[in-house]
Amino acid sequence: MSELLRLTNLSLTYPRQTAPALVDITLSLVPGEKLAIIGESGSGKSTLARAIADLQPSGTQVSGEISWPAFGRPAQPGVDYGMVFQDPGSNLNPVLRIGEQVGEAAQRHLGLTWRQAEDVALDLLKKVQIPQPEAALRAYPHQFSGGQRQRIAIAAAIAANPRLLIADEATSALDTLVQAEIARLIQSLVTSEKMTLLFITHDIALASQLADRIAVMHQGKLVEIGPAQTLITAPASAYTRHLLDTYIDLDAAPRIALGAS
Amino acid sequence: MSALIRFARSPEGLAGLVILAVLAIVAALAPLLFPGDPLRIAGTPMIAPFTDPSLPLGTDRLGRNVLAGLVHGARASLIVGIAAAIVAVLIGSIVGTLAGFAGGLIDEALMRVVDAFQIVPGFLLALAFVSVLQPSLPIVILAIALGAWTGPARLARAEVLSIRERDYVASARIIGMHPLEIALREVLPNALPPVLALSAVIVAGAVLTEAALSFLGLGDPNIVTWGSMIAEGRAVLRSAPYLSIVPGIALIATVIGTYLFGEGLSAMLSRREQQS
Repeated sequence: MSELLRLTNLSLTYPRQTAPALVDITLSLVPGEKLAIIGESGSGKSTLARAIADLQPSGTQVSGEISWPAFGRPAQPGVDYGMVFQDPGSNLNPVLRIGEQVGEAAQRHLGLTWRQAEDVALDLLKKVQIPQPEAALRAYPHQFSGGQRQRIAIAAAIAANPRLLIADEATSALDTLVQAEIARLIQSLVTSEKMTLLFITHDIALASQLADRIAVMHQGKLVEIGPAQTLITAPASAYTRHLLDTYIDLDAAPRIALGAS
Repeated sequence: MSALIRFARSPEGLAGLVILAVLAIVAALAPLLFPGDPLRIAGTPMIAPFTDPSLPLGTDRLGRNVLAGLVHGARASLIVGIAAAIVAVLIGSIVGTLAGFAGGLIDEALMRVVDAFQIVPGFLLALAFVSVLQPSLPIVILAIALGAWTGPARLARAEVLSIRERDYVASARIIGMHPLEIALREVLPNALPPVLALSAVIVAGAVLTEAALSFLGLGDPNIVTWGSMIAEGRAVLRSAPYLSIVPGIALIATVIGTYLFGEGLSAMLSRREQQS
């Protein structure tokens, strides 16, 4: 099967920066797979996502190649990929109605009228399990909770049936319960709509549950990439092992000593 | 709906609204209250106010009804004030949005144009503009807007600089929206609230500028305005000061009403900001 996306020696330097944000990234995505990219803050994982989505600021130096072998042409934003962002407070435009924002991509790319796009938006809102979807179409973003806004943003991202869904820390700003719900929703949508998923997160546990493969990034470099299970149980690089060791759960030894000892 | 309730709860906003509403009603009903040309002779010249019940505010030195002039003058003041503010906010917010959103060279170029307009005093600019062209109502409106659009432009640009980094703008780019469409549809409406709060100040300023222009004889000569009434009264200032004082009070009331209304407006908008 031909790859959906291939990055070859991708390096990227932001304008007025000397240190590159991405160094020699080579990786590929096959259709239908779920790839998680993990790493600490500043490791370049969001930069990578934005570079794939062609969202880097003007003046950014990019070398290497981003190709979309499955399309045989440059990817078209909205149709070929959709993206969900981190901050549920700013991912929807506060002055536009939900129906408008969700239906926008469908109206734009599928050649629908606004009325048809509204029907599409209604279906999408049902799909992402927004309560009372008919009323939600006419509502504004501030009337929804963070988790619901993130669901709406997902609905808007997949409106034009993109092949690739990029989720850039889409669950990081939510509490654990809502996080699990959103992750489950993304997983089921990706499976039912036969999409490919690129999931950016700093949460190793979430990545290992959600993804088929995990890529670890550190200081702009791709440290390791492999099947989720193998990478978790038998990490090849020291950095991945370090990352795994720092994973906090309730069994872990406390790292911040309480009180003076 | 709740925004309207918040507006109604601010006392200054309510007071401003009442003053402006009275003025607007009077201005709208002017042809019914005082039919015919307010510049025609209505009685003997120089009747003092409150002496003749049929001419409650008296007449000026040509025998024209002062109250009729006042009522008809409210039309000119309000039309010029509001229209100039609309033109200024429209031009300013579009230029500011484009500058802030495009960034780089376009931003620099547009903001230098803004600078060029800002360093010339607005009144002088209006004066020059009107004296070069014919003094008619649209020209006066345009002349005042010419000096007032830079404030909204700067404000809109500053807002846009922060808004353009929000995720929904990136989302719009991902959808494949044209940058111009993103700027005008996604960014501009979000940058508007502070600009609208400023617009009340612009209306007040425009009313004053219009009065000053017609005081200097650069208003539309065919309509009666408060400024021209004050100028008319200046000749007999010592014997009949009321001819200048009465339209002056109307002018002050309008400006204060507009200002209070603006206060209420910004209270309403800022409380909405705090909420979200």
